[in-house]
Amino acid sequence: MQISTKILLVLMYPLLLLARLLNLVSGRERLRLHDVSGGRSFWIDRRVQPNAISYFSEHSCSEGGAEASAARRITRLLCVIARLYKPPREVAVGIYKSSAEREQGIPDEVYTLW
Amino acid sequence: MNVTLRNPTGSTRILGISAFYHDSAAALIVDGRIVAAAQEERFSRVKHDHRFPINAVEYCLREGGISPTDLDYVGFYDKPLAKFDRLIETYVAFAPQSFRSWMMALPLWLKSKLHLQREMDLAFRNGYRGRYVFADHHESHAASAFFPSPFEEAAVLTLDGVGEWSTTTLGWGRGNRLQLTHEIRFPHSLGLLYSAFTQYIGFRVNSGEYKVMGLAPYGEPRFKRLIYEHLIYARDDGSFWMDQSYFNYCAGMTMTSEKFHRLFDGPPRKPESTLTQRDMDLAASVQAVCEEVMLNCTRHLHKLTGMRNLALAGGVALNCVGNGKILREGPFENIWIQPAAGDAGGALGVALLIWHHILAQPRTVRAGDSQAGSLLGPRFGDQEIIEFLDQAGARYHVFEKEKELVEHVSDLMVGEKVVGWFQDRMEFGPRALGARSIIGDARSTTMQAVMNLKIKFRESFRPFAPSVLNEDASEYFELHEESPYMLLVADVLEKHRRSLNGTDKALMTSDADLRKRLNIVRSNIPAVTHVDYSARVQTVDEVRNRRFYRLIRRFKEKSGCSVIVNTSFNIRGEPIVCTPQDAYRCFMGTNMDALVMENVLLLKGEQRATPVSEVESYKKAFALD
Repeated sequence: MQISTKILLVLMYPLLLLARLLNLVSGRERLRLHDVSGGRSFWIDRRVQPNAISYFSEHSCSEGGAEASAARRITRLLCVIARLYKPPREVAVGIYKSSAEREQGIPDEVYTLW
Repeated sequence: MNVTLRNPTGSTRILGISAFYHDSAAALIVDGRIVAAAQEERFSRVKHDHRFPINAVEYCLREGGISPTDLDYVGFYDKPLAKFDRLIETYVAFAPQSFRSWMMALPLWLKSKLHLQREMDLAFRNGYRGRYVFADHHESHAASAFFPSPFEEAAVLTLDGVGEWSTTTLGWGRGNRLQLTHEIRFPHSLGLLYSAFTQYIGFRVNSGEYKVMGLAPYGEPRFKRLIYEHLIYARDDGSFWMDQSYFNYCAGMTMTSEKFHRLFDGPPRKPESTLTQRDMDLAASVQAVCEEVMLNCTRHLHKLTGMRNLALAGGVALNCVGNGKILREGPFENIWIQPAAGDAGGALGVALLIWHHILAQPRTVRAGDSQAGSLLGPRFGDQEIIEFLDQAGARYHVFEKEKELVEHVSDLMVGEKVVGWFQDRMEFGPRALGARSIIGDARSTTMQAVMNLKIKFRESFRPFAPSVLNEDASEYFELHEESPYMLLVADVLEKHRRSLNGTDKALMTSDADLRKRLNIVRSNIPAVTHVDYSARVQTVDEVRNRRFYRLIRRFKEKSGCSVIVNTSFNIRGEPIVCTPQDAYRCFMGTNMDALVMENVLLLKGEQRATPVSEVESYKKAFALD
């Protein structure tokens, strides 16, 4: 990993702590880590169905729900920062390799969740 | 934004892709017909290869006789930004414990995963000029389950580890429409619960789940209550919630937490160490929970939809013991399971979704199904095989007539020889279905041990799977449905079972060596009978399986038995063979007696001896799974 990326990520991490605090204060919890079903079903209705336009987007209109969360701002910020890392359009000579081949030492069980 | 969908005129070519998580794959459909589908691991020779499926894409385009510029649509099997949203939400919820995971995951996202369209442009060498389509992960699974199924309408259930947010979804398909109506969201996941136990019992996540399923019959589900009381709160309607304090996958580098280890009185088992009765009981317990939740999901889904048919996909749908239970005890009259139920199948799912659901093209339901026996990969002709064998200096026999070849091979099998069977197009999905298989006589009392130790180089506690003539399946197994993709488990009929003597019974409860327990002859087809008399059955018919069917039929005429052993053509840790080169290497590097590639037969006794160093380097080329 580039040192500049490492520094950036270290500097950004306190924002996650802040976002967690804000979520705690405002009672937002998208992961449903606490059982709030009160004995009811845990099924969640998929209220929004995808339409033709949504299939051309990398965002989902059906997944994850519309609940507010401070984490969403961090996600947006990271998407903006990611533009700095966008691979150039020029095709490299030889066999294609993605810009970030999986780095060493990442266990299967967690890589599969990312 | 206004999007006008192309109105298909002439041929519409759609490529589906799954990549960057595990089991990457590509699938090509032309005017709704599945032309090709393959997993990248078969070409790259890296098991569960997660990288962009550059070789699989190349193969699919070659099979379709087209280049990237000819593609009308390229579909990706999930929504990267929705997944990223879930990832960041999780890191926030678990801060500061998530710091290490954050530092490892984010560079991949910043550099690659957040630029998926650019990555795909580069992979296509800027040759694809159309737009990319992105489907929800579970929608892709659902499409892969419903659209190729033989049902005009069906309830749809998808279960896996996780996609973007969903881990389990319910829905329905009718004609060319598909809709998911309910979901369970991350981190609550039946697939991840199973994977957590897989790791805890000492197996690798994403490949060891089969081993847990195979280990379960040795144990008693004595931890089931503990699992329900602490780990997963399950409702009668199949929904569930999981207490994350027992798990570590949200923020850590392992699946289970210290609290989990305390609950089960010990740390995870070290890989490759001796399995204890406790490990077997843990496997039996999580398997029992998994089956019950699966069954409850199907009952609830049946109530919601009132439909007679069920289509299943997602990694959990590879749990063929659970599938068998759904078939026997569930409310649906018919079920169909996508043979590539894991993430690889998402490539096919998204392509079919584009054709039927997005482009609204009609769907023709075919008898059997539209999966063509899942033989969707590359095929190699005699000429190509012979050219390679000549280069390799191999000795071989070419048979002009299939009848003579089948005659010869069935003789070998009756003589308890182990045969590499390389025919037709390669299978799409994790199972060898008679195109890239190692086969043998299921009646042999030594076949299991021989195949495990001399061919697979493993000490397995799992039996091999049987392939049986479809018309004779109910003569051997408690199975009254087709199981063409080896995704159903059924019991060997009483009349074929043998009662155990006192020594064997004692061995079953006391001997720590599971191989000894497995090797007890407990039926007329011991090589494929598990310790609980269950078997993972493939029914073979002439329409789907052609020559493989005719071989078993001839074997039956000679032996009186229509069941043979069918295991994947590979050694431990190796992806199933794809090319004649792969097959020949495996044949020469193991103690296989014969290899049949299309019309060409090789006998081991006629080949030059392989140097020990070559065999060793072959065995070491693959990481143990």
